[in-house]
Amino acid sequence: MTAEVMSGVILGQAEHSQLAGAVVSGLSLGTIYALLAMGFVIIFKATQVVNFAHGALATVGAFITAGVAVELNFPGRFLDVHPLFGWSISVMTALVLSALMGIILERIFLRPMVGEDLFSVAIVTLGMNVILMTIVTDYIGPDPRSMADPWGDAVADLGFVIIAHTEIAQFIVAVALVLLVAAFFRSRTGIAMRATAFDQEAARAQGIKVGAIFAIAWAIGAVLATVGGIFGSVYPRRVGVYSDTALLVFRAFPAIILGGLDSVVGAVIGGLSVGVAEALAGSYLNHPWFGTGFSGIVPYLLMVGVLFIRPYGIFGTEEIRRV
Amino acid sequence: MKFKFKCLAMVVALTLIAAACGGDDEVEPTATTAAPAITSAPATTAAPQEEPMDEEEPMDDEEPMDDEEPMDDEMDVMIATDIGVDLDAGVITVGMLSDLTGPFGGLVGLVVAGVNAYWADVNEGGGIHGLQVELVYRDTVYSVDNHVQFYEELKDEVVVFGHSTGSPHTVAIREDLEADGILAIPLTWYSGWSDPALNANLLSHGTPYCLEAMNMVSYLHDVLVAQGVDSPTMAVASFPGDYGLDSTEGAKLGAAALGMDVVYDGSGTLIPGQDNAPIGNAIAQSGADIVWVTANAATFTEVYGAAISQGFEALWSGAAPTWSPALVAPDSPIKDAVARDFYGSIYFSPIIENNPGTEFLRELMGKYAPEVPLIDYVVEGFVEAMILHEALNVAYENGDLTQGGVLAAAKSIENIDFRGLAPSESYVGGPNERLQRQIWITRPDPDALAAGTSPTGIRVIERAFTHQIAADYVFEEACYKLS
Repeated sequence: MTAEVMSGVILGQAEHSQLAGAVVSGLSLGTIYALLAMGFVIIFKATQVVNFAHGALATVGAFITAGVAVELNFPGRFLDVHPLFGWSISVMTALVLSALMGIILERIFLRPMVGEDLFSVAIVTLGMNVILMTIVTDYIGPDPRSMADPWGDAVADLGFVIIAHTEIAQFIVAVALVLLVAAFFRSRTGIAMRATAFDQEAARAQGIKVGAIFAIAWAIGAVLATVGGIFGSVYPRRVGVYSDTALLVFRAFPAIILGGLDSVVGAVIGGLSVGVAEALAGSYLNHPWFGTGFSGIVPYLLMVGVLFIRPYGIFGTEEIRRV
Repeated sequence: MKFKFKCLAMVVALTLIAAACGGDDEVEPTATTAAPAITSAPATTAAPQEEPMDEEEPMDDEEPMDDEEPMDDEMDVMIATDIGVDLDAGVITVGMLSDLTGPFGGLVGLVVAGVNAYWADVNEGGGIHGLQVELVYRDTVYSVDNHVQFYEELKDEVVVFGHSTGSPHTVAIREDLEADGILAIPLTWYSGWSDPALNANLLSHGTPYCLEAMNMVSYLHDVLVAQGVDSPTMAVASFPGDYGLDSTEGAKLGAAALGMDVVYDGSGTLIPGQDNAPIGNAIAQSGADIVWVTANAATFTEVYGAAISQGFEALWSGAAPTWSPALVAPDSPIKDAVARDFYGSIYFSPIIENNPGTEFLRELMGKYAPEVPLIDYVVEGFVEAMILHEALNVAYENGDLTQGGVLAAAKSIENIDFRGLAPSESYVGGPNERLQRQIWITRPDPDALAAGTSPTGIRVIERAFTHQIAADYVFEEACYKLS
């Protein structure tokens, strides 16, 4: 009540650090961006497809999770288990369904496009996005679908900053998934995917089933998009999945470009950087002088700045063409 | 390869069918009369003629046509018509410029459901003196360009626009409405509609955003003072544009009148689809006692969630469209916090109230649209339809169902009684005489929502409430001026 206001900028001092709060909020947002960016990059890396339907995958995946956890109440209707355990089973079930969705979409829409130019394939993914969003928007309706996560609005007070339990869970899950993806790329299938990404024809000549690699890439991409969609739809960000959850991916695009379109590490670093930059701008540059919604363009400014110095992104592979 | 394409074709076909299942019913426009005419119609026809006459009317007829003979021995009324009224077919055509699938599609869908049920009942009971009312919808998707395009498309087909979603959208057609002499009923509660310079062709209704906010922050101020808080402070945050800024201006006017400090001013800073958590963090940092947010429920959640996750507690409130029952749904992680902190407001009687209007509404919705949830925006649909009904009735009784005749009739209405659904409206007199200032104040009620006794998840704590600050406010111009 002692804070002083100056056109939307707070100059007061409170018990918890505003800077720390903004950084935590930014890291939380950044992990969502990183998860979405990783999925996008894995699909691009393995199949050379720029997937404009990634936002739809996130929304549909989160919607499936809400459906399994709340509408079907699975496994709660059969088993009386600890809420965290029950919800984990719901999420795992939803992730399996999301992976299947990714495989089916790839098989129906993308496989027939193998060999076509990248622009045509990108347009097909735009069409997929329209179809999926039309259907899921119709089902979601005006009100959000709850995720029914076990943490609710619980928070942990660390003294200088307060963190929601969902955010702690989000950090743990994101780190685990990054490690899993890193381990995957060292596995036999992961090496096959890297070989496919490097040269599809050469990979095929070595006996790698390129079609199966494409399907696996889409399955992993859909799973990562779903996890991003889930954490973008829980407290403190939302109280459930809305149809505009897909917009999260468009906000993650600067992270993808900034990190490097074909770099998983770049997706993680890019996601975290963009999330923190957006949150800090929202906290400290929310001034009429900058205009309304300035924080929304900060990720793009950051992206353009990086591209001036490194045109392929921080970790992107430099492409050399013979002319 | 053929099999692949067959599969693809089947998926696309199934997708289109699924999408079409959720589509909106669009009423196709009927044939319109091209030229002004004065014809006679029976005053007490029970039903429209089944076979519409198909006579061609002169394109540029300055002499009124008088070729109709009385249908029976009843006393005839001479009715002038020009566009959108076909006495031969017994049809009055009304245009509806509605956001059916855009950002306010869910809300407008409920309004439209109320409008449709009301007119279905009127038509079943004989319509407007025997003339059936047909509603011609166009989905603007909340786009100003679409709104203008559909206005141009319909203005030569309809006698009146019974619905116009959105302030910038209505502003965009305002000059055309004046030039064309057509009436429209705006679905927006912008305070500027009370300005005589803006509302010549509009029938605004309900308490404006500005006075709603003024009422609510004044009420919350009094609540805190009664609890022993010496000098309550306030934070505001809103969407940009007329909805957000008209509302936050009202909140700030109320705060100024009460001597209340505004410790955080985030007017216009909330952007749907962007990260709005920093605004919530800033509100928490401000330590305000009262927070006024004008947004939608999704954006409110982002701001509120970020603020309370910092351990922040205050009295929160927001313009009516900020509320959603999803906030206190059984699975909502914030339902207890919202029930503790939130005060809601609404411009009309919530459906859970028992009065002749809500009973009438429940009966009609049960009869004509039982599948539609009884969320409070259905009331707005009934209010809009009742205003239009009165305007068409008066125009008929005046013997002038031309576009200009309906406009003149509407502007002569001294009292519309909504049977308790909303405060009665008058379209005669200056803005300070006819401006609505009342709101219904509500608290969240998760238990009633879970039990199914309150589909909107609220209970009413104040009915038709007007704070002295709002009652004394002298309206000279819009609280926020649209550019």
